[in-house]
Amino acid sequence: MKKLNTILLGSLFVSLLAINSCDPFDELYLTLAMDIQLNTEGAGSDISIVDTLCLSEFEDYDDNKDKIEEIRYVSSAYLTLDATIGLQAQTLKLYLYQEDGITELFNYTIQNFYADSTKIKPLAIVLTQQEKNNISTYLANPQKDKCFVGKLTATNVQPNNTLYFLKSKLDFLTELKIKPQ
Amino acid sequence: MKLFLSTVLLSVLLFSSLSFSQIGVNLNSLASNDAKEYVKPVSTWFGTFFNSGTYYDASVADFFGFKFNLIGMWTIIPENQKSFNPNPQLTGVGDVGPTATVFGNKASYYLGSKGFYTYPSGLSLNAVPSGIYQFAASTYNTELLLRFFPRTKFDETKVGIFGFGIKHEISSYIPMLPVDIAVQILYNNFNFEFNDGDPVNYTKLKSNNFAFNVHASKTFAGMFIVYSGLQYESSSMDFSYYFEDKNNYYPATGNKIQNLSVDGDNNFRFTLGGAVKLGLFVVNADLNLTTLTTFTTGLSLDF
Repeated sequence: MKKLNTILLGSLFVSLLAINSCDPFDELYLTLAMDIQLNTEGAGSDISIVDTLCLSEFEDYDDNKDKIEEIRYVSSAYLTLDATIGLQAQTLKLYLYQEDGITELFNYTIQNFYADSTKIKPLAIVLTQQEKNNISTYLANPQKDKCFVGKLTATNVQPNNTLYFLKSKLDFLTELKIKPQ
Repeated sequence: MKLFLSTVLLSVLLFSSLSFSQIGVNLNSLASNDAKEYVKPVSTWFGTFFNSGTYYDASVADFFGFKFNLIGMWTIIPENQKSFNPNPQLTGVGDVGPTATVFGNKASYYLGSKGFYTYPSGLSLNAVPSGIYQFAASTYNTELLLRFFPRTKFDETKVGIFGFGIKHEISSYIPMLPVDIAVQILYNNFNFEFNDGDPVNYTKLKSNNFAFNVHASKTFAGMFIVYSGLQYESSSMDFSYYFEDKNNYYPATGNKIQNLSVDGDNNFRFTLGGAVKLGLFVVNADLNLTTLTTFTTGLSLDF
């Protein structure tokens, strides 16, 4: 009887292994690039711009919403798309908040900001582990749409006596893990 | 999402019975050097697919023989066919991590002067199930095998298959040999074209596959066959697609149709299988050890 059980269990194990190895689908991942546009024009020594985006604005998220198992933060960057020549600031700060606009996910400071230099080369934003965890926690329960509020502030902006403009964006990448069909 | 190219590449896997997810692939965004690496496993798969299931018996009728075979295949996609090291060839962009091929699942990215560029994901496949039919007729110990699907237009899509094989039983010249031995040469061609008038959607694929093998078989009790063979094989694929360069990183080649020539990773294979003859019918199964390990099963009408 014991021998029969062993044979049956062995057969079951082999069958499960065979069935499992016959699944043609691997785990699915999609990289989702999102950006928050931060544009302004005016005069004055300080800048403050806020914009919002939601996951549901992206087709890759919307199409696969019900099958997403996990959303993981990958990377982020700041870049100046266009700006008044010579635009600079003593300090430029970037913030990312949850949709309430209060709960901070990360902030990043650029001292001695020169718009021209980030036009040539985007600035990779390096987050602390705590900041990455903040984002991952916020992105838990991926079936629920999540919105983000991006904010840019700048102080001691030059030239501050004439009209200037700044077109910039905060890019961030996430990875969607999707259940195989 | 460019569902169109997803459809194309899924159609390429047209023998598959799978219902793929809508994730698909989006190779329009790939520059030609990266696109070549991205689709290379498809060329390898074609080479594996078309050069499988072409025999289960080395004995060939000396007067008249006819076969009709339905062949099912299960091709395993190994890890080394699921990713490649991309090379965007852009100033200021350093090494980029490995990214998915058409069969892979994890896409890479780089930070370019216009922001993040993300490579396309693949179909996330561990295996590709597929099938094909073929006819064979034989006389004078020589067999002609044919695979044919006439070039047919379905709306904006044209598709066609033509393949043939010639096999000769060389053991017929050597009396008293305990096994049957045959040599076989194979050529298979697959054509696919999508043209709806919009160059962005244009896609053309032509796959050419060649193989030469020596195989042997032994029949027991008139109904059980054991067979094995060694095969040299090669595959190449001409592929045209529209490269949509949204960031204008490639002014010389971007936003134009690209024409690629991609060689598959096919060289040698070893086949081992068995078959059972049940009157006019034969059921067979074999294992093919090659770049993409493939299991085939066949149901044949054979007289």
